[in-house]
Amino acid sequence: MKTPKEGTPKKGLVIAIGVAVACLLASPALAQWVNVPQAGTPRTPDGKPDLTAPAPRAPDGKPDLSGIWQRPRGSQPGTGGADGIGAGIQVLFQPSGEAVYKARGDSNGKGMPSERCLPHGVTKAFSVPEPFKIVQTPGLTLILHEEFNHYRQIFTDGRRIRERRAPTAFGYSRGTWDGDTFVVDTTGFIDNAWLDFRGHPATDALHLVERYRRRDVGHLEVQFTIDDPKAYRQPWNVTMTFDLLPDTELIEHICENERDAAHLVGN
Amino acid sequence: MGGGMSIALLVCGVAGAQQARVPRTPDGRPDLSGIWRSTSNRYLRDLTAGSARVVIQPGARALYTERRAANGKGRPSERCLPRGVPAMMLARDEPWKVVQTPGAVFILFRESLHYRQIFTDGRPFPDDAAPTWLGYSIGRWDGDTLVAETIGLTEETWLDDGGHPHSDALRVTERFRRSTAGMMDVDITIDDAKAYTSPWTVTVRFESVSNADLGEHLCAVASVDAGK
Repeated sequence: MKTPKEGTPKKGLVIAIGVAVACLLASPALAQWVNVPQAGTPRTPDGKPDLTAPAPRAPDGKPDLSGIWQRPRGSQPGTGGADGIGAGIQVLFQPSGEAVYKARGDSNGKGMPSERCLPHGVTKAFSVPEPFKIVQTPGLTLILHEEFNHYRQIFTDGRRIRERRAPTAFGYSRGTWDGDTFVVDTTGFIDNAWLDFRGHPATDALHLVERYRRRDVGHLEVQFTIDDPKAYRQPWNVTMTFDLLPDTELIEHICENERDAAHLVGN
Repeated sequence: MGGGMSIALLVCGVAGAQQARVPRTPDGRPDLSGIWRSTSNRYLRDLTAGSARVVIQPGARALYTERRAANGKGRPSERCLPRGVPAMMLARDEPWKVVQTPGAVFILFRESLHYRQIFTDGRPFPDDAAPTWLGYSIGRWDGDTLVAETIGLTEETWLDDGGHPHSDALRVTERFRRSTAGMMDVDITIDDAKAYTSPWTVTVRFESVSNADLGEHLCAVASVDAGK
């Protein structure tokens, strides 16, 4: 069972992330990682996965993004840090967005939804060190996050967005292909969300575009475009890269921050 | 359960054409894909309902008696922790979606946005299955029936809201039988020699829900001051 690592001050956050990474590196945790050689993985003559082989293709000819992916250790943008996923990027806030961002920084990130085991939302869930699994099927692509054991659906069957749908943390996602790039449009987000651990805000006006490109077997790149005119004066982009974690399986991680919460509210 | 955190309401309706033929995947297996929910809360309340011969071992009996005396208070789902297998399948108000792929069957839950993976690629159980909330599940086909076996379940989970306990020796077998397009029966076998004198089986019926959007139902105990 991993240590809950949310709800920490900035410095604490960095420490907490470090703890999470340490958990991943610790040998007891590694011992739990299941060795499951996948039949479809191209291999070098010595039997190791060939991570630079061309990206596999689905039966429909599109790149197959399926696999377990993880952020390279020490990668930028980091999960925490002074500027979160906005590190090195010029982010032009609206006054209200800036006020929220500042308040969250001043309170050392207290009150973020994941403290209470609520979903991170799209960009924040990708920013953690824990891996995620992409399952690409005809009509539907799933993203299974190890963190919190939460999932996300991306519909690729051409369906329309239902009106009067309740907003959610992961929004409502539809995917299309632009050549070999998988483009995911998401709207329908809850208001007052956190884009990262630093507290970059997003409102219910957020339109998130993700562009997934599997460069080869071992490498995935995702560009996020954050278009939220209520929080920012102009759209901004973040790119994250991910490495394939071959021949293994996700480890169950259930958020247990709520474990002892009942007595706090007098239940 | 934090009612305020119920983000999306599910618009439910039993699918029409109940008698329509069961769809099949390209490999000829029944396709279990779709959104399902229990036809009642009967088995969530008491998984042994209708099962005449369930004999609890003394140690487990004491725990069960204690939980019943507390009126079911203290169950993990009160604190937003997973109900575990099989209880997470059983709540009428918490439908789940099956996504069947060639090497795995995924079950996506409306409740807590959690998922289960049932691996059907022929892999064995891992040697070192540390106990988890949802366990480790592998599946195989027996004719038109998907047989899923699950081990490695933490003793913290309850088999039902009534408090039937289990030990770390628990092995749950679920036999998924989609009898018609709109109906699926699942035979659930509880095999736990430390808690029960012999394995026992109940059959729970699930109905197809004609709703393209599963929605989400999040749980946060400390949500009184949460607002959002």
